[in-house]
Amino acid sequence: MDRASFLPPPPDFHYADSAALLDPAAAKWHHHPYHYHDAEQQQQQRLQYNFHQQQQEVGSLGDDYMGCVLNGFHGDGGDGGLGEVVEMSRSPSSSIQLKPDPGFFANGWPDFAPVGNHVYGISRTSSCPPTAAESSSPPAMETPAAASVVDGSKKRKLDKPQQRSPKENGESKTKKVKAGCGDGGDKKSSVSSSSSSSKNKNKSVKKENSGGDSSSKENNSSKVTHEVQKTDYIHVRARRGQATDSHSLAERVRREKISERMKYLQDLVPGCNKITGKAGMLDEIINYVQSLQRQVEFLSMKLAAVNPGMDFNIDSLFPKEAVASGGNNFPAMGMSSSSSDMAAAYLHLNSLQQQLLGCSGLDMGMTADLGLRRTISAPITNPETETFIDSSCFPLQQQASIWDADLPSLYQVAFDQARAASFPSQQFAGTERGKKMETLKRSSS
Amino acid sequence: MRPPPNSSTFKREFVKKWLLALQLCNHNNNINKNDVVKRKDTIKLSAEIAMASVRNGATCWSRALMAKHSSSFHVTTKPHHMPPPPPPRHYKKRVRCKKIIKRSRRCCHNRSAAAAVVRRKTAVLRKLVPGGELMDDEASLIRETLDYVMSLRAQVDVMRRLARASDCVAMCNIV
Repeated sequence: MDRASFLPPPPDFHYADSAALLDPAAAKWHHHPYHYHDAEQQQQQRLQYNFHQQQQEVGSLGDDYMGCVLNGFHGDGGDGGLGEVVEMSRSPSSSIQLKPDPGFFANGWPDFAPVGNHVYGISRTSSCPPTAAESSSPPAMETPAAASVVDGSKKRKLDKPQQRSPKENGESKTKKVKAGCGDGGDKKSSVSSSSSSSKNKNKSVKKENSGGDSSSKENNSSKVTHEVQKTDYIHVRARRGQATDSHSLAERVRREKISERMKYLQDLVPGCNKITGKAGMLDEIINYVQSLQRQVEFLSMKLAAVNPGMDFNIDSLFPKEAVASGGNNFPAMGMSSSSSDMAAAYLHLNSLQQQLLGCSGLDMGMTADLGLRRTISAPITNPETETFIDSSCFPLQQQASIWDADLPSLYQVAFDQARAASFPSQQFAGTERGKKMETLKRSSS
Repeated sequence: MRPPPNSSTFKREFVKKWLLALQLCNHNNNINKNDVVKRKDTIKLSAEIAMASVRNGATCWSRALMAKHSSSFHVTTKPHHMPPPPPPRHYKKRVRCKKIIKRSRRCCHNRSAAAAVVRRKTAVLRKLVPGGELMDDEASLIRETLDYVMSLRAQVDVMRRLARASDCVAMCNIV
């Protein structure tokens, strides 16, 4: 905005001239049809009256009120708008300076004739500090207030961008977003924190938000009536009372994604159903991962210590062909044969002995299992794992959401695991290996 | 990210690859059979590699694990199923983004203490999960953690059954 145009107007000041004087580009205002002559004079009188009263406060008015109302303008040279209004009001020929304002209003709302609103608007603006608090009050009240002083500058700023290339839409629309009042502080903090992370997400957010165009327009048009003019810029569905800045929206999207995934983790990690809050959840996850890693450590030590005379030469007893064939045969051999084979390899048992092992193992399995359970108490949370699988399988069953198309399989995995693992605590029969042992037993007997 | 395989499928694959890895380990290093610690390390290493290779490099943690162990574990037979590591430009981008994020985090001192706590815990989690340092945003970190937890559970399950079986055998022999 060209500040040089703020010259003190000639005494025989006319509205149209002032419009051209202030903003040649906006000279088209006087082209807009408006029939405000009668109302204008009344307005002007009231304006002068009110202005004289509040002359000193307009300076602060500019800062506070516009600071809270022109939320989205901060980044977009909203200072220019502020400066304009302030300068306008601070000029000596005050009464005349405000004359252009009626033009602003009338152009914005042909229906803005009632002077009562205008007066109300002006008088509201006088009480600046409470305005920040009041800004969160019903937005319908705000619209005339926003309109009265601010609107003109807003409009002027609008016209300029509209004349600018449309490519700026992507940048400016988020800034112009609108009288989302009361969130200035929030917006700033979110900007500082998410400025970087949202850079990548801004594009996606904008793409998402462009979909919710019309509905968001309806939302906001009820707040500020003059928004109709700048519908091009509104692409974001802003929740009521929340910041509408693109940064905060991207931040919100990111937060929602994270909370969604935390929910899945909650189902996975045992004992997390009652814990709410990120910190507690993270704590549990960390503990669980650490415990799993410790279990791996312990089990590998245990396997290493199985038999000092253990032979790692698996080639002889576990032919590579079986491994190479993979596919159908291997699954049949599966866990049972491999595990028992490895054990057999360690002890150099032949296949017949394997069967014996199988049948005796089944009998011994229960006692051995229990014995194992008693000995391996702390490091391996055996009963705990069994129980958590049981407990977790039910919420998992109900979860129907999709998480990058991974989740259905993930939940199926966990559910299968639950089903498979719920038995071994009681008996071997439920497990794969148990079944194989049974078949071995049956074949041997 | 490729969806995690079925649990039983995962276990089967894991066992297969574990055996392979063990064999390779034995070929490469002559293990002193009386050194339990070394044996344990071998077992653990091979198990980790197997677990990572089952995921076939589809997840960040699996790639990180394989990269970590590739130096200690000379893969003589090239595992053809392992995909190439991500191109370096991704890492550069990640490093750049990390700097920006760190800078922005430093600036927001007005964040509450709770957020600081969360950040600390996230850092701990990053250290736990292999490849966690490479991930900038929490969402992917949590996704990786999920996958890693699933794989760890399956691995623990397999190892436990094996240990149980060997114990059974041992007890059978005693009896």
